[in-house]
Amino acid sequence: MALACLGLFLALLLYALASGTFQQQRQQQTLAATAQEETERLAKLKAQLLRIESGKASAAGFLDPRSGTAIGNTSGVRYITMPPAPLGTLSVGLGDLHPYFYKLSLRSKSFTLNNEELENPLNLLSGPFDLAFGIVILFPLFLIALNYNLLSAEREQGTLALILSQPISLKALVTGKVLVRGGALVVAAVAVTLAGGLLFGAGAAVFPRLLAWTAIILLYGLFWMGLCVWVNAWGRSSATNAIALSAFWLGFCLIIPSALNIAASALYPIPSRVEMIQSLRTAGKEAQEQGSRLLSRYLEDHPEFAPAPAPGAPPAPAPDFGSITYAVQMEVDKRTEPVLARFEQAIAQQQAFVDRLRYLSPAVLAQGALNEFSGTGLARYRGFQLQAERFHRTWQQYFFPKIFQKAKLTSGEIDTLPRFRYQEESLEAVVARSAPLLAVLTLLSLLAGGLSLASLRKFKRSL
Amino acid sequence: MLQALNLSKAYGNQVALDSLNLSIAAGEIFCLLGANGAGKTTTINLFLNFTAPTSGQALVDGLDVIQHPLESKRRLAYIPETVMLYRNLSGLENLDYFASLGTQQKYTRSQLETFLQRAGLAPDAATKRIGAYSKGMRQKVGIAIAIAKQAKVLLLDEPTSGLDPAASNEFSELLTQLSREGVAVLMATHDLFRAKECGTRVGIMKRGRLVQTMATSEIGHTELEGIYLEHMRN
Repeated sequence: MALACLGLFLALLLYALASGTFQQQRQQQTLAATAQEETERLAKLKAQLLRIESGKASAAGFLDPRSGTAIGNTSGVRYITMPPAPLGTLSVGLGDLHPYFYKLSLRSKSFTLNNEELENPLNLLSGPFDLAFGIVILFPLFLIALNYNLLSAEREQGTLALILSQPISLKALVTGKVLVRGGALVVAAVAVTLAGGLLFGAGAAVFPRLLAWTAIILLYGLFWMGLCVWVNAWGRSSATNAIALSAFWLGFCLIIPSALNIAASALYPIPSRVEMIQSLRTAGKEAQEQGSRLLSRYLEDHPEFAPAPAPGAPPAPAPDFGSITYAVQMEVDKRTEPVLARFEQAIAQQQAFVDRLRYLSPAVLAQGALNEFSGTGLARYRGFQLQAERFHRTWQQYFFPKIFQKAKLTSGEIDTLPRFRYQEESLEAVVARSAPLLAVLTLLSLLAGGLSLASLRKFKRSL
Repeated sequence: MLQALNLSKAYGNQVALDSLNLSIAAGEIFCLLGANGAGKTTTINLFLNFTAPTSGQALVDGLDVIQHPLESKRRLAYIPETVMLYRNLSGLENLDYFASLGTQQKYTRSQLETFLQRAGLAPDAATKRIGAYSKGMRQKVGIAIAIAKQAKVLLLDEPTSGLDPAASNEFSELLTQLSREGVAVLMATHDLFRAKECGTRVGIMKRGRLVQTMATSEIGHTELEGIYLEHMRN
C-alpha cells in the first residue's frame, strides 16, 4: 500500500515536471520565433531602405517606408521580451496570466501593453499542473494517506499494547514512523525538484533557488506530518482521523485560498473591464475629433518638434495623418491614465489584502514562496510590466520627433533603433520578498511539530 | 523482581486498585484471581506504565516504572489476553520486528526460528501469515518475543482464556519452564485449576484489594475453589 502510494506520488510529480517543462519549452519557442521574426523583418527593411537610398526603388505610396510612422509602428518594431523564469519549469506560477512579451507600437500604452486577462489577478492556487501544484496540493494529500492512521491503526489491530510494552517511548515510535513514511515522500519530492531544476533550469544560477525549494518542501512536509501526529494523538479512530485530516487539507489548500480570493474581489472590486474599454474608446474618439487642434497645441508646447518652414515658403501645410494620429495617441494616454490607475489600484489593494491574510494557510505561503524562487511570482511580472512601460515611452520619444518633423530614417539608423534589455531582478530582492513567507512557514512547521509532540504526552494509553 | 508498594489507582471516585503491596521473586509464578473489575488488569497496566498510579510505586527489578519507563520495559514482557500481531506478516517477521524493538538488536533468522521453536511453535507455521494463526499460536509468538528479549519479568493478562485444555496445558508448561530459568511471572487469570497447577502463589483480589495470598503447595484444588468462592460471596 505504502509503496503503491509512493509510486503514484512519484509518477504524478514526474508528470507535473514534464508538463511544466513543456510549458517552458513552448515559451522558449515563442521567444525564439519572435526574435527570428524581428531579425528577418529588420533585415528586409534595411535592404528596402538601401534600395531607395541608391535610387533603385521608389518611396512612393500611401506611406513612405522611411517615415517614423511606418518604421516605429510596423516595419521596424521590436519585441519587448522577458526570458523564461529561472525555474519556470518547476512552477508556472503566474506565468499563465501575465504576458512575457509584447510587440511594440507607437499607439497608446493601454493599447500596446495590453494584459488581456485580468479576471483572476491573484491566481492563488488553481492553474496548471506543475511541480509546485504537486508539492502544495498533492504532497500533503499523500502525507495524509500514509500517516492518518499512524497510531490509530496500531490501536485498532491491537498491536499498540505489545509495542508499548517494549522499551520504546511513544514519541520515538511515532516520530520514527512518521519520518520513515513522510521521509520517503519528501525524498521523492526533493529528488524530482532537484532533477528538474538541474536538467531544465537556467544553469548554476538556480542552485540557491533550488536550495530554497528544498527548504520549503521540508518545512511544508514537516507541517503536515506534525498535523498528522497531532490528529493521531487525539486517540480517535482511523476513520475520524482521515476525516479530520481531509478537512484540514480542504481548509488549507482549497477553502482558505478561495475564500481569500472571494473576499479580495468583494472588498476591493476591480472596476468593470467593459467600463474601462468604453472609456478608452470615448477618449480615443474625442481625441480623434479634436485631432488637428491637439496637434497644434502639442506643437505649441513642443516647438522643437514643429517641422521647420522653409525660409520664405508659404504657411505650413495642413498637418499630415501620422502627426495627428500620435498627438491623439498621447492625448488618449493622458485621458485614460486615471481609469487605468483605478484598475491598478484595485489590483494592488487586492494583492495587499491577500499578502496580509496568506499567513492563514501554509499552502498559500508555500505556493507564494515556491513561485518567488521560481521566478514566476507576481513581483517579477510587475517588474517586467514596468520595464516594458518605460521602454514603450523610450520608443515613442525616439519616433515622435521624427514623425512631427517628417524626418526620414536612413538604412544606417535601422541598426541603432532602441533595443529592450530585460533587467533580471536580483536574488537578494527575491530573498527579501520571500523572507516573511519562509519565516512564518518555519514558525507554523515548528508549531505543528511541537504541538504534536506535546499532545503525545497526553495520549491516552489506556488500551 | 516485581514489587508493588502501596500501589493505588483511582478513576475519579472509582477505586480500581487500593494500596496493593506485593513482591514477586525471580522464579515465582504469581497468579492473580478475582472477578472482572477486581483490579487485576489495572495492576498489570500499572507495571507496564500504561497508566499512572494515583499513589504508591510499581517497581520492576527495583526500578520505578514511572521514572525509568524504558529501562523497566527492557526487563519485562507482556502477553495480553490475545497477542495481537500484524496480520499480514508471518510469525517470524512479527517476532523479528518486536524483538528488535525490545532489544534494539537484530537477530539472525536461525536465532529467531530457535526462539519460536522454544516457544513451541511448529516450524512450518513460522513463515505463515498471522492471519491464519489460532489464538494458541499467537500466544506462542508472544512467548517467543519474551524469550528473545530475555525478559526477567513476564506479565500475563488472562493468557489462557479461550484456549482448549491441551493448548492451555502446553502454555502452562512453557511458563513453568521460563520460571525455572529465573523469570518472575505475574499472571491474571480466571482459571483456578491452571493457577493451582502452575502457580507458586495465588492472590485473590476483590474490588481493588488483594484480600488473600497463599502458596499453591499448601492447598488443594477444591480448597482453593472453596476459598475463592467464599470471598466472592461476601
